[in-house]
Amino acid sequence: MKSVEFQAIYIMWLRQMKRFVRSKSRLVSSIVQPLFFLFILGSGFRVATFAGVDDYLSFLAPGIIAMAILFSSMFTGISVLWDKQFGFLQEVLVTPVSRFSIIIGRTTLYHCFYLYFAQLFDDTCYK
Amino acid sequence: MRCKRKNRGQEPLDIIKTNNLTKNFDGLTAVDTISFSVKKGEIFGFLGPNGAGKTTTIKMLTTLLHPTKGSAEIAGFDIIGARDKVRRNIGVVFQEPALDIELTGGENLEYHARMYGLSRSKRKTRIDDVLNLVDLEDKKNVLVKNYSGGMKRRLEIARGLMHYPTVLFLDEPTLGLDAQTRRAIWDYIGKMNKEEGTTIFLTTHYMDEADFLCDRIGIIDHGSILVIDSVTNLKNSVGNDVITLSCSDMVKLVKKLEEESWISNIEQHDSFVTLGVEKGEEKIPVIIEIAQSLNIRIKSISVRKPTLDDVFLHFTGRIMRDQEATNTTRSVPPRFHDRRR
Repeated sequence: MKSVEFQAIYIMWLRQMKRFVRSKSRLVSSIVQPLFFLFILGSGFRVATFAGVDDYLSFLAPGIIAMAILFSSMFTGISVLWDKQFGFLQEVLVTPVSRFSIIIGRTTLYHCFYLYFAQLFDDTCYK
Repeated sequence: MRCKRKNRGQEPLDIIKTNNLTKNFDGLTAVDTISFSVKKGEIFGFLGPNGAGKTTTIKMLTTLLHPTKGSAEIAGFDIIGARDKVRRNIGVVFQEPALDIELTGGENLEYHARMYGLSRSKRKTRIDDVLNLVDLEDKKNVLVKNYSGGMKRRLEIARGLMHYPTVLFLDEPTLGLDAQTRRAIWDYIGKMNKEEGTTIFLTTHYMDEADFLCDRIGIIDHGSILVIDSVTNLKNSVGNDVITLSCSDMVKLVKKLEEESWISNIEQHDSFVTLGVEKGEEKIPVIIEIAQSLNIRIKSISVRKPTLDDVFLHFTGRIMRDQEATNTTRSVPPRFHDRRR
């Protein structure tokens, strides 16, 4: 792969990241929502006993991670559609960069974000 | 103010060359076997009404659409076989704005340049250069969503130029802009053609725009090219002066006028007749006399220099559907023009 392809992946990622950080509501909601589920729901059901469940929080955590990943993938898909709607995608498509790099670049933001998140959960729930 | 380029010495090179380019959409032929070539360093205009096939042609030339038939070459590279090489050589400004409004103007340019693999130092100087060209240097760090429509357009043109393209495609560059901004954008287009030697391929449905900017014009309607020639030649083909008249019995008058040798061409349209003549002012009384001798009442008559409107009418037999802005921008007072600098 040529270096311009890496550049493109990085740029697509950087662009997503900048947009993500700049729109405060998205940033807050994507962090707060899983935490909300984890702690409110988790501590609420903690007293209840289920068959085969020792610690409710560690039972809940994988589900929340999966949910967060699901939502964020949907977000990624929708944001590509947004780009298409606003014509920005066209501009990316006329650059001499392979389609593959564009897709990779577009999706890595959430990969990074939720890898980090999963790690965080792991630390808090499965110590 | 016209920006004609002269080819000094060497033979001009064909930068864009199409050969029977065709695009079908489910039975509709959007572009019908068009063949033309654009020389290095010239401003070539595609003039035609909405839906004539201008944007489809641009999309094919910029490798976004696959042609149904035919082929085209840009800077010597085939648009199907060597897409990446073509993409490297072109800059595109689309009809709809294609900027990321959540980023600043500078970031938009920076990211664009990186996708083309420009080095860091080159990027820096180039961003300042192109922003200077379109007078946006003080807006570099402003989010694009706070830009006005004209500023967005200028930024897009700047972005199209970032990576030193051989050809810049402009799809209706002044669509929806006010008169002053249009005028300013014309200046930028002329400036970059002159200073950077960029070959420019633009589409427009504004007659005055094509007239002001282009070296050569192709008139396109219903997917096929009707004529390609320089602006002067096109105008000359209509006649030195154009007389437009409407009267009670046009068929009869036209029949009579066709016998006159001083009329170089005569065309009858729905509600009026146009005549191409020399020294139009002196011919009006003659025409009125002829009409009176036939007992035809003339409702209106006027004489003017031919415009591209007449050329368009001459080749298509109808007036452009969109012509609201024709001949209005020339009269912008200079103070408006200066204020926006």
